[in-house]
Amino acid sequence: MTTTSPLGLGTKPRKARPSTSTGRPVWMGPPNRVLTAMRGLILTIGCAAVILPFLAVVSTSLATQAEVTENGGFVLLVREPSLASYQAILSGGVVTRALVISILVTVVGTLLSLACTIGLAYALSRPGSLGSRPILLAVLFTMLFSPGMIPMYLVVKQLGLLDNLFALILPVLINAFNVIVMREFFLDIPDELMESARIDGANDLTILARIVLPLSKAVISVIGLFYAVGYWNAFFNALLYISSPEKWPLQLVLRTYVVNETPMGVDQVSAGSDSLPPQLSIQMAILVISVVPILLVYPFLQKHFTKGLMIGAVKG
Amino acid sequence: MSGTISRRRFLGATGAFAAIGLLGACSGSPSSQSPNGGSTGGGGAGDGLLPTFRPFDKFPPDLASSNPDVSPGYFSYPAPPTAVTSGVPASGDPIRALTFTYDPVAPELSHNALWQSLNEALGTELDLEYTPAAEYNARFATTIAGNDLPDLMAIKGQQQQMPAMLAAKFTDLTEYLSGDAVLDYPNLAALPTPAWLSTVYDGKLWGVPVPRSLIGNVLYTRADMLERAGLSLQPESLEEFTEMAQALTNDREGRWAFGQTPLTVLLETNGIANLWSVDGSGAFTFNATLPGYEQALADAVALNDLGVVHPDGNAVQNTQRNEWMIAGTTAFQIGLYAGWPKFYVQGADIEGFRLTGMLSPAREAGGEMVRTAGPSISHFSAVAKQDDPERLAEILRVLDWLAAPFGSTEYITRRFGKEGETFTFDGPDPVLTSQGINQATLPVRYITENSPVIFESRNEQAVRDQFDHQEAGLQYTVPNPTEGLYSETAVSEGASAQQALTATEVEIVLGNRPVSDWGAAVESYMSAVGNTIKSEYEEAWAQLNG
Repeated sequence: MTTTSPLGLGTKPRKARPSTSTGRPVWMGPPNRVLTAMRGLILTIGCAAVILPFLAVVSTSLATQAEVTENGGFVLLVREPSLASYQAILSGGVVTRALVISILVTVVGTLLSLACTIGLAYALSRPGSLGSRPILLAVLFTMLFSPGMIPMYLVVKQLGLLDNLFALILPVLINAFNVIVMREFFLDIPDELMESARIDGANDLTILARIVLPLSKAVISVIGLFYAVGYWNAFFNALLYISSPEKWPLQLVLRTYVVNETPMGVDQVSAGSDSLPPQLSIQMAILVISVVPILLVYPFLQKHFTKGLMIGAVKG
Repeated sequence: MSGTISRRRFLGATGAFAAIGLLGACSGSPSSQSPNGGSTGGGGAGDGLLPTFRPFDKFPPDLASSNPDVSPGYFSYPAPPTAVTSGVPASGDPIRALTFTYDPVAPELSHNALWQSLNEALGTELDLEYTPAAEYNARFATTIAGNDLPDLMAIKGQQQQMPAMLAAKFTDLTEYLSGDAVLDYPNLAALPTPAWLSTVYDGKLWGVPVPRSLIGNVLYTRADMLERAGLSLQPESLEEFTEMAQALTNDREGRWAFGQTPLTVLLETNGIANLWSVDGSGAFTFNATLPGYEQALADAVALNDLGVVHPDGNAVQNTQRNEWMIAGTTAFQIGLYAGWPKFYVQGADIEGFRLTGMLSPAREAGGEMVRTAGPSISHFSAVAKQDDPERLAEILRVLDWLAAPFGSTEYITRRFGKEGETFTFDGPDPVLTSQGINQATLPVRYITENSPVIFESRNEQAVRDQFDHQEAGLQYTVPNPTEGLYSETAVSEGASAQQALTATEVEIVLGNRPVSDWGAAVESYMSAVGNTIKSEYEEAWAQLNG
């Protein structure tokens, strides 16, 4: 099939549409069994590549020493599930308390970060905001230059935040990348909406609350998720700023299990003690504990996630 | 240990260069800073700087050696336990300490009966802060920069400008601990002399060591598997070692001899012990420049080609390799001596499980055997600048209490806590309760502790096997000549250059580059930092040895 140039300057061949023998496009024709089988196979392999490692992690976390030994490490399907690893981690209350601290830091941190990011992004998106240009440059500057570990520590110390949970939030309260993404989203909202609101007597705060935020659920969800995952996974700030182990968040507590190869003071425990689950099971149980809360949040944000991710990608 | 080289990397099969380098890096170094970076040990024991060594004879071991480096072996806890101190060592303000741990986090003081009983025994509150060992360097750097030092602080590995940093921030303990002065603290006087050497910089004592056995790296061996296969537990030559590896390998059945390429073994087989060597005139040699090193690389490649190493072995973590050995997938595993007890816990359900250590054989039967020296300390604890002599004495008494020997009641309180709550007696042996297992992860032992001993409750064979390995192996140990020396270049620039050399070594062992590339890589290392480090060590050695 060929087509003529609109300007009549010549013709160029045009790729034929893939079609069935009846002349209909492939996707409108009856399914080809071979292709369907291939698709199924590829999808099955893809799913297996994702599911099997996760299954191995969960199974190994439930395995006994005998099964770990029998399999030489990871266990794919556990025969006699045991919660000993979870009991070992959760007994003593250290991990449970760390979980509460992590949830607290994540929730409070995410709310504060979102509030500050929305406020800053909105101000920077409004034409005529006082000092918006230099403030925007200052925000961009933080994307290019990091202050470094020791200057950050000294600032936190001077602010009197050492061994205070706010030291885990305030130094990372605003992320410049997130501010830029949100500002771009706000700039996309038609000015007419805000002008009409202003004619109706709304001030900036009302416009933000009544018009901008309801239209920005997607970007707020995504940025909120970015912040939440950041707070949830952070351990290095806690390592530097929090000296009391009883105030450590979950990730730092769990790191002591994963990084170190010894489950506990084994030279103080008799060989054959049934209170020591295999180290590999403990490590896998820790993985499960650390990813489950975030996994639980994802389904609720999924509908916004794709849309939110596209914001930066398609913005000209 | 040096923060730039992780413990896992140390244990990696192909990281032999890093491994023997680390053994050196683990040791501290006495020094007298010179303008160009070389520094000397602040006098040896000969001029009375090092504390007088006075071991305890109150608790006679079941296994003792004439070699003082071999740890004594105990089949059971000495009964009855005896107190070696009187009264409480402190009664003042809480003592703040910062250290690190290889264990999980312990419950807080209000939920930790072991910690409470420890405070009761000390007569004050031990305010203990700690981080995972892998992250300690970051915490150390910020704490020093923030100038908010606790009373006691772990000095792990060597830091840049170490002598100047110690002089600026910490208390010189020479007056209180050198020579016979240490006898005021009898438990500290029982710590081995080589361990103290690592706390000396600029001719002064800067801390109290956390001592370790000199046995260092172990080629862990599933003795039960070798015995079933009718193989010797100690091959006499490289040829026999290789044949043994082949006999233990059957890839169709999923069995291999090694979980990693045993380059550390092959280096010793080819006469390479430690990263540096020194001759009688004080000339240092970087051992990677020796023909034996290149030969060991060639042997490693040949061993890989024989298929006796697990195909995934050089790509997994040591935890996985440990599991392989326990499962019988592999017969050997290379690791630090400190990890020995954990294998008994992991292998408790295995019928006939027996673990021994194998020495690196000589290349030819009857040839000379050598062994790389392990670090004499894990690290040392320094006391922050302290002007009040009474407070300082109190801190030293607490350290003395924490170093109480195996067999004492103080040791039981420190490691096991409170009877009936965190531990019970199984015959003479204290055994942690399930509650105690969690609480005993409090890293008090990383402030300081007693001299190493071998003890496995109700496992006499395990004690004998460890003792025999030390007895057999330590006689071949070549002392690390850089122990007691400080090179600023090695600390500040050595790690990155060494990393590049290690990367080349890994590529060669994996067969991605020819062995002939090694010479050029070493030459590049020497011109970058090696020659400077060599001259700094030589200068330091000359000052130390007159």
